Amino acid sequence: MQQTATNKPVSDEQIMELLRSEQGFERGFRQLMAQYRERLYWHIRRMVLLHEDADDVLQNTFIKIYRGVLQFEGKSKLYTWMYRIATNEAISHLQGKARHASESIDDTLAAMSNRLQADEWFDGDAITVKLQKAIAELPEKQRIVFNLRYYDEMPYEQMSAVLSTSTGALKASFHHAVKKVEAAFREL
Amino acid sequence: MNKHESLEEELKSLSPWLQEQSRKQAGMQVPPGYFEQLELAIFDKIDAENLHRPGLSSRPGGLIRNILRPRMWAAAAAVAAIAVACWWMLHPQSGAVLPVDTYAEALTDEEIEAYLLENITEFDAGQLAAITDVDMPEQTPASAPAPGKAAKTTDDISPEELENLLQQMSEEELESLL
Repeated sequence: MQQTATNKPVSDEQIMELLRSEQGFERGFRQLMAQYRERLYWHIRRMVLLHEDADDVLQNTFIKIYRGVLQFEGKSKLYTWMYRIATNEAISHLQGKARHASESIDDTLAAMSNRLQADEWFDGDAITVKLQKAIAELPEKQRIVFNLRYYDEMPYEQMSAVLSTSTGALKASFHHAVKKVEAAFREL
Repeated sequence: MNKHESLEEELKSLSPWLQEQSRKQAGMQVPPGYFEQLELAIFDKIDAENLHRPGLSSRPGGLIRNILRPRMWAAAAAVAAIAVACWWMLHPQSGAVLPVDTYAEALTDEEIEAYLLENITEFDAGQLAAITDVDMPEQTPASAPAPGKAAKTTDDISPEELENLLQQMSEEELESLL
């Protein structure tokens, strides 16, 4: 019988408890997906821009989580750990695409941002398209920091755990990124 | 100060223009029912990749399970045994010399004796008795005991008697004899 997740959010500890029990593993994993799929999707989507790519990356992310969740030691928050996996998967995906096209990730992302309006699942206005193109021009690390802070509103402390970077460096990175995005937007 | 207020403050000082932009999903959408169907798609993938609950044994059909399947190994062993038997029957061993015999022929009796004495502890009493009967050089008349001096020589003792004798002797006694 299929084990379903509850609609009511449960704590990470309760999810882990379910995952660690043989009978509750599947229910725990469904609960984890139900609780975190949207946040992880949007994080990934902002990194890879197109829905089709985001869908691939999200599925791979959950497969990795499925494989490794029992090795999760609880040294960080469950969500932080999953964010890290999602970030790495998105970067790997972009690297794969860049390698396939024999170009840099920045070039690949620029090309993807140009295709953004053709994506069936994008209906942003001209300003939004321009903003996404400006963000796509940022170096990889700054782009991730910008997205995590600007769109996800992630606190620097949590971001520090995800990206293994000091909060000071992250603040500086975000400040640089904001200035660059604004300047790039004006030039586009 | 909550995280939203903190970001607003940060953006206000850094870029009021960016602060004014809508940040909600940035024009990106998902197909209707996508998140509901995602769970199904992921479990399909888990089944397709034949993943199992981490920490448990593989589900049936997994590659590792197939490799480790005892029945498969038993069948392979049986086929190999039949192949060896056929080969053996089709290639009679007439005149063939086993490698161990070749080595034995190359050794002198003295070398064999020296080896046995050096490695005496490696052999049990039965083996020693058998070697004494079969492989040791025959006693020369000069080395034979004088009539009536010893009740029995090693030639007179059966392997069973020798084994009993050796079992009754302590290790020290055995070493002193050697």
